[in-house]
Amino acid sequence: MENSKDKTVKDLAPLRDIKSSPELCMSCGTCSAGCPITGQDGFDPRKIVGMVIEGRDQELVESNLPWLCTMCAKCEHACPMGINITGIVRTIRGLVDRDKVPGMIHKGVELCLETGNNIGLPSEDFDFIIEDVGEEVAEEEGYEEFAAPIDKENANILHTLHNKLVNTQNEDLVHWWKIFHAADESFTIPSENWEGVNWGLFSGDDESMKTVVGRIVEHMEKLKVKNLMYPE
Amino acid sequence: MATRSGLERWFPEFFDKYNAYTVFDLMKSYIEDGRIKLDKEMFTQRIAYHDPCNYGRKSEEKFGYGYYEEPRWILDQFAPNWVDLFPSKANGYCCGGGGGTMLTPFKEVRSHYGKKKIEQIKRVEPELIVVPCHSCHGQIQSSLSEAEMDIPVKYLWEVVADALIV
Amino acid sequence: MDRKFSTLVAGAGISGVRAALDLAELGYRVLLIDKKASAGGILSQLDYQFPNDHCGMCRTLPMIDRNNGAQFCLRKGIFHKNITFMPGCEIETVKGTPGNLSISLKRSPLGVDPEKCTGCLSCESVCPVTVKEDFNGNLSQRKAIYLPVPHNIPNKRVIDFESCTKCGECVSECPTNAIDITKDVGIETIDGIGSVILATGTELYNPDGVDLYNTSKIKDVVTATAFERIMSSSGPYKGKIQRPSDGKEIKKVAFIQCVGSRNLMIGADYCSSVCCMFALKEAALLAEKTKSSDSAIFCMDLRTFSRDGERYKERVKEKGVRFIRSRIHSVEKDDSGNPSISYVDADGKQKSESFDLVVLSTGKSQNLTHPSFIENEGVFGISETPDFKEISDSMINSSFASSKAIQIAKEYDYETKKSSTQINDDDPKLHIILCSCGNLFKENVDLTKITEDISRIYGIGITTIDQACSLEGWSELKSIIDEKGVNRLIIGACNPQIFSTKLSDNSLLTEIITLAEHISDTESVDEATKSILSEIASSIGRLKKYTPQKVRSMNISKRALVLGGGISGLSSAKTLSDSGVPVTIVEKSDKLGGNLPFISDETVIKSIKNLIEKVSSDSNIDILFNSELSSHKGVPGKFESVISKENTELIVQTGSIIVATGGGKASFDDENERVKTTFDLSIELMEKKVDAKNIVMMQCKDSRVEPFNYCSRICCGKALDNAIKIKEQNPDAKITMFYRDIMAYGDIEKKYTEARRRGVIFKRFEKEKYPEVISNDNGFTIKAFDFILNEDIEIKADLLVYSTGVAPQVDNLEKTLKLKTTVDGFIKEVDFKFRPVDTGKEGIFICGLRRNPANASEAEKEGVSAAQRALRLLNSEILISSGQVAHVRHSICSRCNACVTACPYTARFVSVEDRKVYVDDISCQGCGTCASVCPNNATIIEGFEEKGILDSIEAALG
Repeated sequence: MENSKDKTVKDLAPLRDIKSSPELCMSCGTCSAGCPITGQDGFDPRKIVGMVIEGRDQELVESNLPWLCTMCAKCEHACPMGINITGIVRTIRGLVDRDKVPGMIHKGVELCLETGNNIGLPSEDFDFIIEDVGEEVAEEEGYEEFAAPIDKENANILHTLHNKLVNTQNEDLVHWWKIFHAADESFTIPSENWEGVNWGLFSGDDESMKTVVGRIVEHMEKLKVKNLMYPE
Repeated sequence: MATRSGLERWFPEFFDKYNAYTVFDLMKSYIEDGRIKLDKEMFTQRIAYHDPCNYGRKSEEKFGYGYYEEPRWILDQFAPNWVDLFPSKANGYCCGGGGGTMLTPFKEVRSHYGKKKIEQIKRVEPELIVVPCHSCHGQIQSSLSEAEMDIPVKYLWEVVADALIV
Repeated sequence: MDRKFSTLVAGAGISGVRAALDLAELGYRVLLIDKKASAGGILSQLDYQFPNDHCGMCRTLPMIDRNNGAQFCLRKGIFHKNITFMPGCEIETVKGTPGNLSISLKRSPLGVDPEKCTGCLSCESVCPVTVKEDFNGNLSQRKAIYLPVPHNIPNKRVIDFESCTKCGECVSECPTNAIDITKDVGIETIDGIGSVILATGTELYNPDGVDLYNTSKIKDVVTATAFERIMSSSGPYKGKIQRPSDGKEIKKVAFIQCVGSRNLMIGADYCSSVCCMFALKEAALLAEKTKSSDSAIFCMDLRTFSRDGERYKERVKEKGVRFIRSRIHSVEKDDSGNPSISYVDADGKQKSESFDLVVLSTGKSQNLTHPSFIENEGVFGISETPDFKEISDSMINSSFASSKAIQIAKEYDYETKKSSTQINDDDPKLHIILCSCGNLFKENVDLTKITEDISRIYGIGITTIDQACSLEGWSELKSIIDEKGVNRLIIGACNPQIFSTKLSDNSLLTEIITLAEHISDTESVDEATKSILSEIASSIGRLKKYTPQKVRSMNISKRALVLGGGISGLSSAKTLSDSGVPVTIVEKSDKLGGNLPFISDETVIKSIKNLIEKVSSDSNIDILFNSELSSHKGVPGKFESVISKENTELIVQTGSIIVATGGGKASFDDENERVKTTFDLSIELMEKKVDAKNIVMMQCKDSRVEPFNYCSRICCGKALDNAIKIKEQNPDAKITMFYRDIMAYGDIEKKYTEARRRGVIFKRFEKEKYPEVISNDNGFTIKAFDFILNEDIEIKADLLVYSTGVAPQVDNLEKTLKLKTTVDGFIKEVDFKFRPVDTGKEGIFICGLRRNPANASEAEKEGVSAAQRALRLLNSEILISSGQVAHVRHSICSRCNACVTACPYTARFVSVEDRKVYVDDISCQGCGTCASVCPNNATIIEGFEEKGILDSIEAALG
């Protein structure tokens, strides 16, 4: 977030392929008409673009508005001018002081940087869960041979995990394992930095996002995996 | 989405060394190559499919390709009664759980999003909802329970795993 | 070398027809082609036009020497002796030089020989291929052999070879062997053409391509043209206004504007110019036809930039149509299956509303370019790019192009063929010819009874011909006429209109009876026979009593008077002089050029200066400075005008008068040097930099509000130019433009886009709330409401620029020349759409700012177009009045003057000498309005004298 002091959202927000800057907005209302939360808690995509054009960044940074948006891009998809609306929203999010980022998003990013996963799950817990769930799978008919492969080298597929599956819904870990097993696929799960979800995307934090993506590249190299299955 | 765009942005050389696949690519190739077989009797109920923004509209915008047809093709292989919501694909509504909103305290707005999705779902009267995204899964489940509707939500790979013939 | 055609006009839409008629009326022969199987272009699909919601296309037809062409609905086809129409043709290449162009045409086979086709329908009934009927916006179906335009005359079928399977069923079924499915596309070269006019128009944006509004799966979403068809009595539902999905009556419609226009994502950085007015018209029609009032037009700007557009819009609003300032995202369906639309209202709240039908206001298709031969010498385009234009703009642009073609025709001495065929006025010798159409009429009509009855009652000869449309039949028909010395003829056939053009070479007075109609309208042979008999009887009645038309021979004053030496006047004078007509220009001031000092575009300035130079040095043009028209009298072809010049009076005799006295900046006064008008700023910007840092531009100052309730059309474009220039000079200048609707029609949209790209801020305001300006020491504070941010705003300015609009000249000409004006004082044309430069008075034409707000190049084209219209008259040697004109029986006329007021062609006047009412038989079009208002039966229409009509009525009733 260097340079953000003298640069505005207008300058910082990445443009779409058509390279339309926010100023091109003709306030036609397409985005607001299509956004499911227009009018909720003062949210209105057209208004956000309008404020960005006028350089009213600070108001936006201090408001809840960027966090109400799911960046679903329904607005952007229909925008006749090709304005980078979700790029704008994410850029505003990135300008918010990290300690003011609402809810779990930034905390998750911090935990991920520290512990390798967004919920800060200790590695011994992780190992236990994976092994335990793997054994459960092996109890099922047709999957007797199955064992969850951790840090296996030369696998065909790198499989990262969503923290939610490991934490609260570990019954959902099994589906892919079953598919892999049935397809006779060779895959591997990293024991460290196993997190598949990159919340830097949500918090507008490029640096952290890059670090987390970089870990995947490291896994691929270290474990000599051939192919990656995108985590999300 | 985050990983792919991150790789493209910061580690473009990654793609010289490795291939990367989405969940759809993998499942589709397993089925096409006969590596997995699916039970066609198992999911005969009315299934509604929900397009996640990231795999559809946002992929289309960012990577020039939206995964609209692949999940539908996969369902076609074993679930004859799946239906589309309207609008769907590039015009589909977000479930309300995207962009990390599941992690923020703005529950009211999130539930407003959810109502829109519920309206869509009600119109097609499904017995099961299938999604290929963790956020959508959680958000739709919570919207359904707010609306006091008892329809199960499953991952696309979950129904595939359930239908596996081993 | 064949030098038959002076001009080839490509495209037979309204523009092409106008251009072809311009040439044909001067006697030049024109080859008119169209890639489609029929003429008429998009207008053949439209029944109603702004501003009176009627069609009026026929008003394009010649009004002098009318008998040169068939005079009926132009949407049915174009018939003129000097125009040869070739359907299914496209230009491949153009070679050669002007005066001798060699043009190769790609000719697609139509499959049916129009000379042989009798329109019997047997082909359609056996054709196994059914496709969507594009004529009806794909809402109905047709066969592969079909009528391209159902109301065309002659009603000949064609084959759509794209869907035809060549099964040959129709070929064997056709009773006249008219069908040939073996022909391929052929190339035909025509040499010796003087010039080419490219009037190929444009393509409509096809919403089936990019599904912009997610409507592909919703049946009740149609294009604006399809909706026009739904409302048409010849449309897919026969005029029942119902929606496609379930046939429910349509009451409430949502119009979505800018579909395919003003969208960078699909490469459409333009406004299609016509869609807003089109939607307004359709909304108004629907409100009237269904007595409903809840429709809505979803728009950004409502671009009602034509002279009367603003008031029209307000009338539509009064009918209950809502204008909602929101572009929409997509169309969804409500629980009952109705299309529903979400939008944001003025308070920033999101609403969702259901409609019976959604209409997509589709504009022009993107990425269209003219073919490369447009660059060739001797090829003239109606527009710079394939473009949509409002009809009147098209007409003006067409005549601008045809004027260039006429120059070439003249220069290379193409033969002119002017007809003054006279109807033989010997004693009437009537004959009746009935075509039995193979066996068709023999089976459905008692031809023997008809023959017997007619000879018994009227003693008139009657002949039955087997197939009058065949070559043998045609020669039989001609020999009967010659042998019997027939001079008045009644023809009864299946679709006899085709004979009217064939026969018009003979000095025959002809009445036509469409036998097929009598058969389809009745239920038995007896009834059909009776019905035909009565029509024959009434035709006999009319023909017997018909007074042959008189030829009015008059020496036309071969000089034109151009009132005003501004841009439109100069271009008018130049065009006339180039055609060999001497011109007198009457200019109020002491110099030419009119509004030249207020023009800031270097190219335009250069071209006007060039024009001034040419006109000044033209020995064929007299210029009277410091002079004005003081009085006027006379008839078309011979006007006498009194010009006052510095206390002297001189009399000018001219055949025609062109009113080009213009107009100028609307009056505006502000002492403050930090306040400027858009016009003044544009001139200033040519010379120097504007040093202001905060500039506020305010559009529609005292404009589009009573008493100046019209859009001045040019201010938005100029203000955008100014804003871009300032930003070029000083990118840090903060410019805010307050506007009601940015009237950036056509490619002016690109300027609007550019201005935004450069950071100009646009804020909309409502008519009722003009932003408040507070002056203070440092400049101004402008207070307004921001509809986007939904809050009151205050903007500081050190320069305030008002767009103050234009106003017509106050010159009293409407009184001197007895012309009609709009409430805003612009001189009104006789028909806004189809005859934009004709005043109600024949021989007097109107152009430029005196008629309507226009920019310099628009005014220039209007000037040429007006000259073009005048030339028809000035080039005639004699004036022929039409067959049917009105007369006054002075003995019983009470001089109430009701007819003078009622005449739509201002052909009636009260003589200054004897106070009697007279008819100028050149101007009179024989419409009969006078007769209907006359309380004393003092009006007679030639050919419709009471005796003849009563005979007809009696026969019809008997």
